[in-house]
Amino acid sequence: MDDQALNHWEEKLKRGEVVVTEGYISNYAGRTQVDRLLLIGDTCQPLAVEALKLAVNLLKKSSDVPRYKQAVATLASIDPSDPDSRTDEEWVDRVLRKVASETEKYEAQLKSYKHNLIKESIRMGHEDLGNHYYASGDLSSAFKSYSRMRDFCTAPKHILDMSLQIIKVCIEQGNYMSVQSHIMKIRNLLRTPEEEADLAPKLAVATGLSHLATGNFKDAAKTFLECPNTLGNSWNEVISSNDVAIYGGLCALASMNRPQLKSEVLENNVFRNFLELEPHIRRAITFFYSAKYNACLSILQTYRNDYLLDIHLQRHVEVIYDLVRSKSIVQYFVPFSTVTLSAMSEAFGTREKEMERELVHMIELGKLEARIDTQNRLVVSKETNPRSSVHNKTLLMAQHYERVARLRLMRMQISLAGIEVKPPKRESVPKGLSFQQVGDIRNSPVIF
Amino acid sequence: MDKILDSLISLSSKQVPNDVYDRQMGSIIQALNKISANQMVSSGGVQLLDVFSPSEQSIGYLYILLANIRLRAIEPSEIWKRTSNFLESYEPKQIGYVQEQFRALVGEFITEAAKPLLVVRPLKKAILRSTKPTRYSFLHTCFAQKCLEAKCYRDAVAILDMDLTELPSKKEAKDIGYQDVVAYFLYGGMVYIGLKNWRRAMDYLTYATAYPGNACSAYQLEAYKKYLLVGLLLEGKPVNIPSATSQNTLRSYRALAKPYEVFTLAFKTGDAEALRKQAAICMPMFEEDGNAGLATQCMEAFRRFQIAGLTHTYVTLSVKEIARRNLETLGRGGGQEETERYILGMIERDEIRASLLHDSPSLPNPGCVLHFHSNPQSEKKNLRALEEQIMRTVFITNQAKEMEKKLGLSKEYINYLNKLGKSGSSVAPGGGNIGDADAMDTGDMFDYLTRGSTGYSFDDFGDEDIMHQDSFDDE
Repeated sequence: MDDQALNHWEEKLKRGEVVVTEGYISNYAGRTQVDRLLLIGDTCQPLAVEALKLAVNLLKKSSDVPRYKQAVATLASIDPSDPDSRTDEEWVDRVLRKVASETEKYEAQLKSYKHNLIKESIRMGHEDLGNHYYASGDLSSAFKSYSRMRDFCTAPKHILDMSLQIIKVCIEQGNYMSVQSHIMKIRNLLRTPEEEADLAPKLAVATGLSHLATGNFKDAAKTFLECPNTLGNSWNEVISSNDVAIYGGLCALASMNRPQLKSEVLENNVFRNFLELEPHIRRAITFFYSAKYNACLSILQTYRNDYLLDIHLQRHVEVIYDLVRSKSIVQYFVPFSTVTLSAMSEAFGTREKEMERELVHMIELGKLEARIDTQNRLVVSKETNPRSSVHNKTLLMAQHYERVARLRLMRMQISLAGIEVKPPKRESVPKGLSFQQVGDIRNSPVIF
Repeated sequence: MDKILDSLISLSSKQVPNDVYDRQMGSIIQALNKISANQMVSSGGVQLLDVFSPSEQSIGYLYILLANIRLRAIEPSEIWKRTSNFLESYEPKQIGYVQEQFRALVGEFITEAAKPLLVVRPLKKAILRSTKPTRYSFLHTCFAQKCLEAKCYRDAVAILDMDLTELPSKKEAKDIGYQDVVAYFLYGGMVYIGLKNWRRAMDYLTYATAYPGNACSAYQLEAYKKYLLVGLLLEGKPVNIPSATSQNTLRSYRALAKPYEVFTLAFKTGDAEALRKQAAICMPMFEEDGNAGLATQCMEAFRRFQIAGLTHTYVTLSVKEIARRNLETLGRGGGQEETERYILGMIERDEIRASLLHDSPSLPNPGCVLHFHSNPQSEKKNLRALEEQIMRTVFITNQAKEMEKKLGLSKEYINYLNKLGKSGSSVAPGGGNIGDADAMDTGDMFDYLTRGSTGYSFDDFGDEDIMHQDSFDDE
């Protein structure tokens, strides 16, 4: 986190309007609570102590020793004087022993099930073992155990359960390739309407998260927007409804144009319920739609730090914000043929110099079709002549075609004539060039 | 010798069918090969060189001339005169039978002529006189090399402007190796570099760079190095390696042309300082490769491309601002006044469409402002260019069709079709041994043609012998 953000947090702390970490985290359940707290502890100094203490308390109720140690170590590096920053050796020993004995117990159980060859029992044995690994923080073993259930599933329902478990584990591991493949698996299964109603939001959310993770904001926005509002708290081990609103809204802002924002976000009855949870996102989108870009950007700026502390959003905040900003600039410029730089910098709340630099950068990247008049301090839109540009493009394409075709023909001729470059027969001479040839080249005329 | 003369005269005087001509030529060459060099020079006190006519009895004349040169029977000045005369007037059909001797003669000719300049014109005429100037022969490589040595780029262009459309197969020209052909492409590229015709230079260097094969020749490496630099001069940004380049070749390029790739990347950043630094590191290597001049031109072009690039971003920009960017990478100044002169030069050469405006000197800080004009493209010019391009595209597409036909009739393809037929449908058991191969060939070819998948008419079938001519051994 940069200095500016830190100062911002400190101010907020002083004014007492800090996000209450406890409140925030109570939206979630299970492992993700701790993951999120640890992330805050790692990245945000002002909140770190509070977050880490919460995490330590939560972890002590679980049997996840590795992460307990991690949390304590982080806390110790920030505030060594805190009572929670000392490892509770006795607890660690006790839990480790318990975990080991349980592992043994479940494995023995599984063995006996396997011996009896009853599919259902074997499946449950794997599931128990997987759940146990999951609880004790060994995600990769949990993933393996859940995956082994595959062969022993007898009903579609079992496959659904298994895939959901795996999706959950994979999201926590950040393994979005598996997430996608298991989503496909579920989609290919027959489902009853009740299952469908239960699954639809989870699938939508998981797909959305995997798109978000790969930076595919457009598809992420689409899937989040389609998420049925029955999600509620039903899957808060992974995601809360608030998150859906934030992710969906931000991705939509970053990837959609104004008419789309209106028709697909603001007039979307299903998504409206989510937006009501995060009214500022709704406001930001409305402002963007009504072309009040500065207002939209300043709302986003206010919440920037919250998003920087979000486990899924953190890596994408900068990119999304940049996209929204450059989109606003482009949209702002659309109706004009010339704008003064000063008007533009006013509209976006920056200084003229910075505005100019930003615009130049955007023009160079080809995002903005405009040119800058540095003498009269104007931004001038490019004159476009579609007719001649089509002519030019055609010409270039044809020339390219001609060259490539000629090259290919030449290669075919050469192959047909059987005079390709061949490595020399003797192994001692390197790479198809004899020393004779090298000498030849040195003697050949060299110009310049 | 007299007999040979007679048969040559009779041969050229009447029209004979191809196979008879073939046979007679064969016997003539056999006879010629038996005669010793001494006997060739003169017979019964008569200078045979004066008896044979270079344009009608070319084959005999060639043997005699070669013998004369080898025995030093004529004056060096005479050699040049006689040979160049011969090269300008020989009968290509006859010479086609004695490529080896012809090559030997050209070799002697080149070594005899002290200056490369002297051989350029005769070689050019010799190429133009051959049955098909766009068919590669050893003359092409000799010619391109001599043009480079003599720096007669303009003469070279007459030949180089025609792209090769055909290459002799291994059978037809045993002594032509890949080295000759790659060298021709490399030299061709260098000729155009000399003329600063980057577009054509690029074409030739691309041919050399993407020359097929599973190894990398030293010529190809040289071509690739130049390819990278010329690409910068042509496009103002690094060009991609032609996609047809084979993987093995590519690997050698990557390993052996590092400095060039790094240089192009520095060019791409648009950061003059980075380019200067990189150039300082790379220059010694470029000098060693003989590419320093080209690299210097790239540095020069860097500034030109950068300024031209500003057209897309700005409408007006003060010269002071441009000078401040410090785009000059050759250490020739780059101050405000120098920049202004430079821009003026660019405008005069029509590289950018812009005008320079001076503030009135009465102002406190008189400066100079560059106004970029938007690019009004003349429609007429565009349309004309398009029309020409359509012609060329049709031409190359026809070439591609011919090539397809040729490949479709090649032995390999027909064997392949045979195999497909065998595995696909049940052919009579025990069939398809060598004995029926010919029958099968024809049968399948009929199939192939009647299916009409390629759209050839039956008239094309008359070219059956193409198949045999162009069938190539797999070695």
